[in-house]
Amino acid sequence: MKKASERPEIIRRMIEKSGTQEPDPTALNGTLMRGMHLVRLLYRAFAERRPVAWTNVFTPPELIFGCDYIPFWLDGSGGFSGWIEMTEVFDHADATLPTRDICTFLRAAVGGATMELFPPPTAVVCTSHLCEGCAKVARIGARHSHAEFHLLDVPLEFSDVAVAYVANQLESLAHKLCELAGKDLNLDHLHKSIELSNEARRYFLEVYELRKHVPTPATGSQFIGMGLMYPWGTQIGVNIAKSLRDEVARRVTDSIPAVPNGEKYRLMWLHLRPVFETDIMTHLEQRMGAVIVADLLGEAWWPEMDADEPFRALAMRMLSNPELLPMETKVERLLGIARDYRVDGVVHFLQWGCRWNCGQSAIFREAMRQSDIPLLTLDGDAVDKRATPYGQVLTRIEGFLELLDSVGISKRTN
Amino acid sequence: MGNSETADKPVLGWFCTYTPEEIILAAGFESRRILGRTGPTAKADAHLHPNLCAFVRACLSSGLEGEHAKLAGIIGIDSCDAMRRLFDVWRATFHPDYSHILAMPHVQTAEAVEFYRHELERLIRSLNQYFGLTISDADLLRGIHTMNETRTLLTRLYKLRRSSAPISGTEYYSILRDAMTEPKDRFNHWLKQSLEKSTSNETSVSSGVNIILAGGVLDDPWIVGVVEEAGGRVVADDLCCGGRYFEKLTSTQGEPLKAIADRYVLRAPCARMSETETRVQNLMELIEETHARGLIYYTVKFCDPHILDWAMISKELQSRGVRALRCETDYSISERERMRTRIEAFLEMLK
Repeated sequence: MKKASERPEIIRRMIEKSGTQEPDPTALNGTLMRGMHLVRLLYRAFAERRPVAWTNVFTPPELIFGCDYIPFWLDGSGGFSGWIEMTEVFDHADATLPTRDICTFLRAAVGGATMELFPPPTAVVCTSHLCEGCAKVARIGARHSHAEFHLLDVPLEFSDVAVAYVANQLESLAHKLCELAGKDLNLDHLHKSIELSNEARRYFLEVYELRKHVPTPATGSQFIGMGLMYPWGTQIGVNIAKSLRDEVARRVTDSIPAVPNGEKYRLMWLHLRPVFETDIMTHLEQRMGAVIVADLLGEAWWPEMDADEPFRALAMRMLSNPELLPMETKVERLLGIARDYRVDGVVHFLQWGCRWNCGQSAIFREAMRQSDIPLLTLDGDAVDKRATPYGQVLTRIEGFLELLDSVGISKRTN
Repeated sequence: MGNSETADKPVLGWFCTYTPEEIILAAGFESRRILGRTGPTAKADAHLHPNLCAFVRACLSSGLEGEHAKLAGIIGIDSCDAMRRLFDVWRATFHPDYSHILAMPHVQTAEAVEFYRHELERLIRSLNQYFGLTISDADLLRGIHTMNETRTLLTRLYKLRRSSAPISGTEYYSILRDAMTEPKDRFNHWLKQSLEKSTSNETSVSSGVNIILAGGVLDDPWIVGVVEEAGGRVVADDLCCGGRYFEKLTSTQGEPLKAIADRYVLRAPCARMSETETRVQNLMELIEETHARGLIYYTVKFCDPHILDWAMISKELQSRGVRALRCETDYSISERERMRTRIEAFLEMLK
């Protein structure tokens, strides 16, 4: 079952990569702790005799940890494939998939799964919402690995009926995962996991408030996607969140800006960012002083969870994802964030292959235009360096910042 | 046949065959599927990113061309990410008086049926509230009877085509398009009469290599004509503009809403559902029933569910010795000749 543990190629490549890359000087300690912990989790998934669940970023980790599994984020695998430039996963995916039109995060997952680069799964769990391709990719991975596949069917909107529908599935899944691991479901573990998640979430809410400060106390690129791949439901998750809160609060108290040369522009970043090794984000934030003060993928969007009703609480967590809001409400929310964080402009990164996100770009553009908020759409590929023309991206960013200058930065969204 | 623009009643538009037409009819509307046509979709690109599936961009293009100006409203469904966005963009572009979106489960379980029943209740409440209606069980039964009549007539046509060949494949799929876009009573009346004439004047089965056509939408039957010209015969399909549209009747027993939910959740699944194994099984049954010698999988560019399902289905077909060809369309005319060459070569291999 764990034959791949004899040669965890990914770990070897990550160690090599981290030896050649200087850490971001603006990274918070909590960000570094999170990065190290995710690598540690990956190592443990290979090395320990604990069950491993391949999941996606919308499956609540509290459930996976609460069932004593180690999660492996299949859709997140594109992130580290991009970072360590493991381009062979794309070539391998081409042998399985009939076209290259699929999102590179998913192609990386297919390639990695079929090359058996990932920790062998005990079960594969995926949700149906927000990234329809991932459920199919997870099924492809499960078939290849001869592991059981479980789909969590998540409706498109929050409602009492939807919460009950998802909660029932979560309960069945928890029992199934424990059965596969050869143990009974321990509700105390799940209870504890949810309490720890709540505690971490409260620190994160403080961080979001502190980031509204002018100048903002931390570079925003490090937060993009943080909430999606995070050890919610564990003590280390609480420790990381507390470290982030403490450091950001200290920087606000001591009036330390996010970047050494001071904050010139305040940006909101929508959707993903390039995850391969590039200085695009460094150039934007540290050299040009265009600091990302708000993003949507770093959020803890859900309400406080009731640990006494774990399945219902987790269902509410999943269904309260703001991406599921009706479009008018979602747009209102975006404009509200722009006002709260007093942004000068918005960058909407369009990950090639993400139908969900690309499909809303014209609506966002129009909404921002009507509210007089400058918006830059950046088509690109967050994972595959070869598919994102570096020079073109920088030129567009620089042009956008010039536009902000021309309209006057004092015209900040209020 | 006729022209849907001349419908006697107000019309509700819809995009995906998981939409419960029974309820549209029960509410006193005509039901019309919004489809695309082959041709440029450049106008739609200003509203929908070019990497969204060509079908949704073709649908939006048809709206931008003014084809659906008189709709009383639209009913969307979260069939896939692109469809969800089509609903959003349609509303933002055309500002329809009425719009509603349904959540469709991705699994075929009893719980999913129950969930969808609730969604149908929500749709009825919304229609009642907006249009001042009181849709009753009797209205729903009337809608069910009309839809079942359409399905029964289309099944007769399908069987007739299998046993004899009164019409070409291209004509058959054009009739199916009419079934989804024309006023139902008018269509049913027309098809019933046409079938009576055809059954009394049967011709012999045409020769040709039996082919199964599977995949997503087929709103332009051009490819069927290519198969026929190349010496093939599309004997059955697994398409949302084909067999999946009419293959299962809605029960007239028990609670109508439960029966409607049953029919839609448990019908032959399309790629947006999780049941890939069921799709493989259905295809194998079709191949066996029709003695098909090959399968053409027809997908729309950027349709992730069908593309990813194909990655699994193709392996299963290969392991069972079924010869298959995948063709992809982006609705442009320019790629047709390339596709024609591939289909001709495929059929040559099968002969």
